[in-house]
Amino acid sequence: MTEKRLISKLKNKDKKALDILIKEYSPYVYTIVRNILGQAMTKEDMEEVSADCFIKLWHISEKLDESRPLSPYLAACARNCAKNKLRELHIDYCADELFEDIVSPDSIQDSCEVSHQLSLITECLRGLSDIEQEIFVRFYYYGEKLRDISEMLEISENACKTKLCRTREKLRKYLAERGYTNE
Amino acid sequence: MNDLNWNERFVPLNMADKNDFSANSISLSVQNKLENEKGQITMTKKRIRPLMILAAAIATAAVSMISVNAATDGAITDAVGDTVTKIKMFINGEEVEADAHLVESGVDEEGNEYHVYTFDVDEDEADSVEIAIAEDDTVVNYDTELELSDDGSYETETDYTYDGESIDAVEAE
Repeated sequence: MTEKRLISKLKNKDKKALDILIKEYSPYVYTIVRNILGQAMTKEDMEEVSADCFIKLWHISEKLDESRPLSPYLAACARNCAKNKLRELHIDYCADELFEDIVSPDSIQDSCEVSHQLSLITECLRGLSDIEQEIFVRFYYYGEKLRDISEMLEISENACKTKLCRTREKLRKYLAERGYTNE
Repeated sequence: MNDLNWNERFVPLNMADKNDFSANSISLSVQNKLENEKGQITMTKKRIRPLMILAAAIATAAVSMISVNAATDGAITDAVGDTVTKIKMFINGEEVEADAHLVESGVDEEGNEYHVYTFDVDEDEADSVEIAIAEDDTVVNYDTELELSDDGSYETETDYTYDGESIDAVEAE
C-alpha cells in the first residue's frame, strides 16, 4: 500500500493504517529518539517516547496532506517528543546553542503549528544547497553529531558547523518574517 | 523540498534495527494509549458573554466559561438532576467553590448520554485549575489538573468516576 493511501486511511481514523505506519517508520522514529535521549533513558522508555510520536501523528492525521511524505513531520515530532521528555527529567538538551529551537516553543500552540512551521522550514531549505539541507536535517531533526555528519560528508567539522550556523540564521530570519520568533 | 522523503534522502546514521527495539512494543503502547484516551474529557474554554457575566461568581472583565462534556452510563442523570450545584476548584492552589449549571444534555453519535456543565473561571488569575465536581460529595468527581491556554481549548487526562465506577467520556466541542 502506498504512503499516500495510508495517509488517506489514517485521515479516516483507520487504526490498521496507523499500525502499518508504525511498523514502517518505527526504526526511523526510534533512531531519532535514541539520538536525542542518548544514555538518559532505557530502551523501554525510548519506545514509549516513540509511541507518543505516533499518537501525535494519529491526532493530527486529519490535517495531513497526502501529497507530502510523512518523514519530515515524523522527524520533527520525534525530536519534539524526545526533547519534551528531557525537559520532564530536567535535563538540558540545549547545552550547545546550536541545539536551541529556531522558534520559541511557546509560539507553537499545537501539532498543527509544528506542521505549519515545518512547511515553512522545508520551503526555506529548498533554496539551499543539498549539503546545507542535509547537515541541517541530520543535526537539527535527527540529533546526529556534527563529528559524524562531517565524517560522512567528508568535510571538516568546522566547515560543517559554519554551514549549519548559516542555515540556522537564514531559517531564523525566514521564520521571523512569518511570525515565528525565538525571543 | 516539500515532496522530499527525508528518510530516503537522508537515511539516518546508525539506523535502529529489530535488535535495538521492538516495533511491537511501540505498536502495543500506541494501542493502549489510544484506548486510555477514551476515558479523557476535553474541556473547552470560551469567552463568556456579557449576559452571562451577570451570573458569574467571579465578577471581573475577563471571565471565562469552561464546558465539561461528559458521557455517562445514564445513571448519572437521575443522580445529578438538572444542576451540579457545587464545584470545588483549586485556582493556583487556592480552593474556590462555585456553582455549575447544566446547559445541555443529549446523546452522542455512539449512543452515549452526555451532559454539558458550565462554570466560571477568571482566566487572568488562573494559571492552573484543579476541578472536583460533587453533589453531596459523592456523585461525580473530576480529579484533574489542567493548564489554561490562550487558544481556548485543551485536553486533560481525568480520573472520572461515578460511585467508584469508571465512566467513559467524550470530547467536548
